Amino acid sequence: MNEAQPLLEVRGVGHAYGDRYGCRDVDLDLWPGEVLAVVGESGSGKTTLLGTLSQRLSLTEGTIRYRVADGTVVNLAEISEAAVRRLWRTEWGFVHQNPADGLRMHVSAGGNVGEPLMATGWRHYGRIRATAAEWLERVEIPVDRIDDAPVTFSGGMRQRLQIARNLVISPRLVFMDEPTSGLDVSVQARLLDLIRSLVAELGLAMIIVTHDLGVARLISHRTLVMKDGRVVESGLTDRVLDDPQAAYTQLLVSSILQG
Amino acid sequence: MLTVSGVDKTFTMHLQGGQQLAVLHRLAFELHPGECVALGGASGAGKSSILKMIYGNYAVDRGSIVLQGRGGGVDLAAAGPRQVLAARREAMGYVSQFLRCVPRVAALQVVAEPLVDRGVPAAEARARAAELLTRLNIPERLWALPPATFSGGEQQRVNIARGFVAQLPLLLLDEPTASLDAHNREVVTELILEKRAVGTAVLGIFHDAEVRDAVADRVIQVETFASAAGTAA
Repeated sequence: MNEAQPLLEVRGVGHAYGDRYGCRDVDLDLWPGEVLAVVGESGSGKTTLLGTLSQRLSLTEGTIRYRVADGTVVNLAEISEAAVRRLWRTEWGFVHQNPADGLRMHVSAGGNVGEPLMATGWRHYGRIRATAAEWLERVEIPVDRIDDAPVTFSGGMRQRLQIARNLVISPRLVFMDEPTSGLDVSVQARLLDLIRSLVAELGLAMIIVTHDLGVARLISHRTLVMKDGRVVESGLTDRVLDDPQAAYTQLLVSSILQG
Repeated sequence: MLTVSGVDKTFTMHLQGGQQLAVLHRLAFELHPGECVALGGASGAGKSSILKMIYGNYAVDRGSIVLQGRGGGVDLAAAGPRQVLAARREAMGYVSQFLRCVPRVAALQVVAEPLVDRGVPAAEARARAAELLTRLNIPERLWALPPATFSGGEQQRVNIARGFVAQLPLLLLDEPTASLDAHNREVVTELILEKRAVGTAVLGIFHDAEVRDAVADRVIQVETFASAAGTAA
């Protein structure tokens, strides 16, 4: 993963809800294997930014350029919907805060993990099932639950299943929206450790939105701090948290509960 | 191998009405391969700040911190996040005062991680980690447990093992022996001398005069670079 080009180049990006901007003037580069945390409190625009970057919300202004696996660089605003759908099937993942938004709750766990493989052309049932079982194991879900639907799972298991469903296609870029915030503290630690090791193992690039600076500290290389829809500070995660420059970041850092 | 020149550091505390705390002014020194230099001075003089500026945790207001590596020099004071991360990976180890525990990760893994991150095969990394934990008297029954549950002294020894496991040109040590007993202090002293012998440059804060005298060639008095402005509103 020594590519000399960023995977994602974001310049002057903004999304407006009517005449009010949810986020604006955002510049960032994301490199292969890099984890970027976007932090800020609710209403800061971090989820709007994630939605805009992941093409779930329209781009009101600015450009997003993405380097596809074959090396070509595309301007995401200019490619067809079919091309975007192909990227979702083969190169991107999105992990929602609420697992129910990313899973098919009444389809078996094995089906949830196997479905993305079938969408990319896998046809051999035995291989799909074996790969699904392998992924359940990687995300620490007992393989004997493979035929159970996620409605019967705990919150932590559902979230781990959603991660397996996203990572099974070996994506190059994964977006995560507060993946741990709906979970109990003990379950959060387990999930974070899992995300941290899978990301390192697979060399993924990831943009993770979180209001929890501890999450940013634990898994990200770089951090972007947002307030009122704009980036107030960004840089190496250690430095943003240990030597915050902006008044708002200092306030955020000083508000961390010491455990 | 490390040239610090004209470095200033001032903290602006926005939550205290923008109060400025000037810590360092025109800090300058050089560090050569195989040398061990101690940072001396009272608490609050800026000793830890110097280590953190070199490692990249703190921003540098002015001046340069040039680290010579395989691919030439990089000015850490001006480097972007990716360059700082690359410099850490290739050239810098850092033992902080306290271990930052990652939930659920076993002590052996915590220590082996810097090697794995640098491409050493997992089995070899674990073997070298085990060797260091043994030298630092962490009983084997603890290796599989996350260090969050360890005593302060045990955590600090895990932290030291993690910082020493990779062979890197520069090692930054922030009071590595603060919470250790006499025997383990001696082990750490030996480990530092071994690093020096293979050419690692060591920059450290050593509270313990005995350890400092045993490992360091010279002491930089950080107060020499105290900002004349001091604390000013």
